[in-house]
Amino acid sequence: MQFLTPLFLLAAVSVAIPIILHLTRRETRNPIPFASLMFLRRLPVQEVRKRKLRNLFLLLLRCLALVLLVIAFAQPVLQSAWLDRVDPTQSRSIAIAIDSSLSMSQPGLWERAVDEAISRINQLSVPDEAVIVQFADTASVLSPWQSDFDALRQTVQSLEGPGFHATSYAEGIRAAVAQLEEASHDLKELVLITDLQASGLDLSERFQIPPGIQIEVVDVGSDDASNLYIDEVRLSREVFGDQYPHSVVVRVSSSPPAAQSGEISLFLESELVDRQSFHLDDSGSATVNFPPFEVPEGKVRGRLVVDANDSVSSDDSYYFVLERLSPDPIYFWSRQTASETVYFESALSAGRNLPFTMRPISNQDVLTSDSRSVLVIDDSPSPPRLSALQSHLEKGGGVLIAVGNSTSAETYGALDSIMPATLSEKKFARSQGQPFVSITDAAWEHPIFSIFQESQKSSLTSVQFYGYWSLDPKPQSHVLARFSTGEPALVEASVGQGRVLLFASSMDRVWSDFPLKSSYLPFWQQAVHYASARQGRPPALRVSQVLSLSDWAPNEPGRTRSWDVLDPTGRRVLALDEERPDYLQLERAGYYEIRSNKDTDWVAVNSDPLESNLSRIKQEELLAAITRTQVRSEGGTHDTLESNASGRSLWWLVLLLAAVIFLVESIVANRTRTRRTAPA
Amino acid sequence: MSVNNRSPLTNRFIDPAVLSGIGNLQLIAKAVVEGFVTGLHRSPFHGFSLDFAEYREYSPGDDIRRVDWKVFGRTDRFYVKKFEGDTNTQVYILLDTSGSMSFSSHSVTKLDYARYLVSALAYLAVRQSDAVSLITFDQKIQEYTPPRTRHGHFMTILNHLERVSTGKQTDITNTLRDLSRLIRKRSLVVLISDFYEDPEELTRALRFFHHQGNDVVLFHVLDPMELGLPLEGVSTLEDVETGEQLPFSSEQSREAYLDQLKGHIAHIRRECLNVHIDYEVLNTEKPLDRALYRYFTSRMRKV
Repeated sequence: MQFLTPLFLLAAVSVAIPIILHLTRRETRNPIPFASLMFLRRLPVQEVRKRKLRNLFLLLLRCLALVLLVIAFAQPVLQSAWLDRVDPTQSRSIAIAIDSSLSMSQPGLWERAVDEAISRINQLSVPDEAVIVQFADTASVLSPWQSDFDALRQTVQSLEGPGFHATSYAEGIRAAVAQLEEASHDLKELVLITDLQASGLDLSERFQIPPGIQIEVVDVGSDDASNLYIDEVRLSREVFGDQYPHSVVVRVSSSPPAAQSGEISLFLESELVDRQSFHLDDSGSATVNFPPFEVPEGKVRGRLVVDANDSVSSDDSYYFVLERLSPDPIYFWSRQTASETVYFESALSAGRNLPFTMRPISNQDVLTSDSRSVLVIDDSPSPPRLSALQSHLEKGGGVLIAVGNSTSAETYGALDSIMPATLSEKKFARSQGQPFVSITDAAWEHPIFSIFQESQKSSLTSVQFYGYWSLDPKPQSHVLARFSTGEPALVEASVGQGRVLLFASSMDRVWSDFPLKSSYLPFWQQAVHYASARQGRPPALRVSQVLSLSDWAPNEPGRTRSWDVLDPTGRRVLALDEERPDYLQLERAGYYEIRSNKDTDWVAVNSDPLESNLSRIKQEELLAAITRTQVRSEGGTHDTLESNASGRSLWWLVLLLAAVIFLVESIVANRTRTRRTAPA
Repeated sequence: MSVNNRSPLTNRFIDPAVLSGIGNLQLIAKAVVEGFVTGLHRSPFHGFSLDFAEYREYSPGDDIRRVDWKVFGRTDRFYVKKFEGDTNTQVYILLDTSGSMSFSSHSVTKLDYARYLVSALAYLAVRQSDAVSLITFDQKIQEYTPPRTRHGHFMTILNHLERVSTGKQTDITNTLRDLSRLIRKRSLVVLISDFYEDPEELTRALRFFHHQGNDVVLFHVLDPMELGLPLEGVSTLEDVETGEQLPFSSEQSREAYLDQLKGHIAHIRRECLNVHIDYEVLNTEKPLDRALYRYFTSRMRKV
């Protein structure tokens, strides 16, 4: 039962008033004169007690009437689902939603879930109907509404069992509710069978059960489960040398948090590369570092494995793929002397595992263009021919142009079709009455500038520019940075399949002190990286992610798009079919093998580490999150909830009852009232 | 003579409330007596006693049925029998004036009712040339008017009645003991009270009077509230004599009280019956003359 104005229930304290009056009241009425008490003195004591009992009955009547009055004002609403339930002959439509997420692979949980589902089906009788919904982070309706209970049992028993997906209660409940809205009968029930994993409840998803649906949450989880899992891995897929250049950083966690020790191993293919020990503290996590190791040529499948004997074994491994690549060429077109280009060359040569290598050129015929090469033109009075640049850009290559003292506006005017901006004039800070200008405004979220954290921005804005070219950006260009004068400092444009970046000053120390700033190296590395349009691939993806096959494993240009995809079990999941869309939903943890007509690649897939955290929520938390009202019934692990059904208002009935009680009370009170007679 | 409740005479019985409106005891007495005596063919006190007292010579006008023919046969003289009733009777009226007699649930208190009764009995006796005495008492005799037959004695009785006011608690046995020293010859003793006394002690004292040859009549005066206790719910009752208060619940207590009262009345009646004492219960709401009429007709049937 609900109350539309529950605050009125506070008035129930008024019931205390007649009780207080009853207890404190004394017989204050005037005594009646009587001739003699000779006979009355002889009366037994129990007469008085009987008088009290009679008054108590009156008191109870008055209290009951007051309580009913308060309830009537609180406007009680009786949900029809309750009334419907009283009628055992009422036909029911039941949606049974079974959690098949990764956490349900704990020992015994899935079997318990199946048993509970079968049990619910066994309670049905024709013309009841049911539907089976299996859910994890998505939901599937496994059978239509039907009253063939044998078929439903068969459906449940033939379920595949928990997979590698995470939990989303919203997905499961939405699917079940959608089915219930099409159900035949008025009495609708949702049975949610789950282990009540906390990560399955996303409070940002505002989902409410619509009225008229009863919900039963069946908890098949265990409070005793423990799990050791790989929570996070910092790893890069692409290696541009024979050794992985950095440490592989791994965070191992336990659920529930507990101090413990163990070992974790690093495999490349089936070969053990390294083994490290770890010690989890009381917070239940520890960081493990694997030092650099040799990487064979080509693509190699790797695996991190935790030695664990826990509730969930499928999250004890972290799958990844390493790919040893040759660095992409950066063609450096400059007329500068070696001493003048040293800054830029040094910046692009700094660090390990750099995805590119510098190649100074002066002959554009040497230019080998592909989608990963970048041509850098630094203050050249004679840049490459426009046709060469266009061809380079058409092939996906990038162009990075820095203009300085040697640059001629007329010369670069011939390259106008690929230039993001037109060169107007050289400008010098002194001629503007300033010692220098600086970059004061930038698109900080742009990939070139995004590496500059808040505290590091000053290293860029403190660069002093003594001279720069005034640029007139074209309409299709984007200004990525501006000087303190408001004039563009960096402009980009997409040309053909590639990108062109135009920097308004030179890369040397002639027009600025940029090479002396700490921001010089990261700025130019990021600028070259961005110009190359290189999109590095991650070492691993997550279960449920959707993979674009044409992006991941493009076919040869001009050839038919087709892929042969095998899942981690070796099962072919995507046949050579040109008409099918080129996306692939990743369902299992392990390695997916993708064969295009160009190459064979692997995609490593891991389950979401959130799913490895076995923390549980209470039933009432889940119910509170998905419904407005809550009613609990007794009974172990089952909670039955009545959603805010369209109920029947009972205020008039309660008010009528209160009126009847008042009437009865007044009749009884009149009979017990003392009749007074005036003495003569 | 038969008593017929549907006799037209009953219409003449006067409501005690009406009597209280009269105010004058002499008139009240006359009204009451006239009310019931009319229905009687002879004086209720006449032939009161069947005890043979003596012979006297026949005088013209004597009732010839009184002639003792056996004596004539022996003596050739006409003698008539003279009964006790033919002589002047001394009537002692004892009126309880204790506090409880002041109680009333309507316009006439028990004491008022008793006063009307006393005045009526006194009027009746004086009419028959009987000597009437009035003794008012509570714990002891408060006032004593000796029996006289002279003219104007009735007014003396009435004046005594007018001065009466309720006193303290009752002690009938003590009063009767005192009275026994006052009575020299066989008399009619009329005791008017509400009899809140132990019945055993009461009848023990009354037996003494009876054994002395006195004729004793008890008039038990009760208010209708005492007779029915028509209270409802919870209340507190206060004793008009002692001021004592007692909580009272109507439902169960009323039945028990009535049982107690009935038992008390039955006990007194039984004890009176054993010693041939007349006993009548009077309801102060009922007409007094009717009550007397009923009593006296019943008495004359016994004669």
